[in-house]
Amino acid sequence: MKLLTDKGNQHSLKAVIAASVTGIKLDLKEVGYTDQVVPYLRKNRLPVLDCGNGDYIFSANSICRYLLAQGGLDVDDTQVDEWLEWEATQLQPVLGVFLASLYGSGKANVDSLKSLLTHLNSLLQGKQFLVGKGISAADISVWAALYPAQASRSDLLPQYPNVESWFMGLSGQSAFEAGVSAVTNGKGAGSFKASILAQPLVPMPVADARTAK
Amino acid sequence: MADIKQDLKALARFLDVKGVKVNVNSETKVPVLTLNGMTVTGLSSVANYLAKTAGRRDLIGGNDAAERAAVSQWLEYRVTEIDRCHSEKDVSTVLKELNSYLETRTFFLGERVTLPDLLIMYGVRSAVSLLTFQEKEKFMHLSRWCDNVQSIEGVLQKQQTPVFFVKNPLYAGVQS
Repeated sequence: MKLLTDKGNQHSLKAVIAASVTGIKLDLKEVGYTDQVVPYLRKNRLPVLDCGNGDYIFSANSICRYLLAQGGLDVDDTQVDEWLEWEATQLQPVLGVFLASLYGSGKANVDSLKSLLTHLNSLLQGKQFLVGKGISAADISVWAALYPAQASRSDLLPQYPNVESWFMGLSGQSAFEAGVSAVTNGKGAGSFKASILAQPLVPMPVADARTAK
Repeated sequence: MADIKQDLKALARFLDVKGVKVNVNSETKVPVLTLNGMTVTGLSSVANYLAKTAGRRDLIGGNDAAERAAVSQWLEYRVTEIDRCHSEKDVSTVLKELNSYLETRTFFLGERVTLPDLLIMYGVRSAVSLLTFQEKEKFMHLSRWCDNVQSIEGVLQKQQTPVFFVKNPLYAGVQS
């Protein structure tokens, strides 16, 4: 199984961590920041898992869950569906803009993440994992999403104590450490910059769904 | 571009799941399902939950992890791409992407209908219905797939009118 990804793409953390949690061999193939790897898509969506015979998985959350399932560790729980959907459709559109300005100009509006992190903080009350008793794709996905923000703005999470303790708890785990060093080559947060600035933004919801009726 | 509440209610009827209540947050467009005292949030999560409730895991990839990944990524695609077109250009990009993906496929996951076929057809129906006949021929694979899915018994509910397709090509030499 080959993961096609550009250098320092934080979303590939989701695949690399899932692979190291399950012990699956995942070979990384480096591609350009703006390469459109999936033949039928018109954006440089990365990372992509090449499953062979023309099948691609271009959603990092789906890749994460797929790899966990290969090791028999995917949790079949509606809450995991909900967290992955929240991460991809609610968190990423806002976080993408935040990271692009943080890594681009060094300035970013922390308040833009307030309601999202408050939501996450309230649901992590008294919990070590997002769903159930162990690590799931939900933890890996949301942790990986927040990693480049926390790595560059360590003042971000302390305002959300439950998020911070959950985040730090996972950071200490070997699979997460291995994931970070694989994606950043041990060079710290700066190694995310080029990929973040090249990534297509996830569109925001349209104000009124009736427009194109 | 689509009516999320109507689509999920249509899916529930197709799956014969009763007692479904769906509310859509007007700002975030996130649907919340209430069923048998359980609430589920998000179009993809609700669709998966309805399929499981109806005992139709075959529609969401069953125990094949690769199929489940394909189902989840295409439902995510509906939410972040199909339902978030801000311009005609975005709509055209989506139709082109789907058309080229469906060039070598009868349905989204190969030979049989699964949840993405329904939810993506519901999602693009209104855009496809606005296309001229010539444009429908340009998006030949998408049109063939859309016509296939909409003619499956129980997929379209009363208030969902079918999109009209002409079977024989009107414009000779139209390349997809």
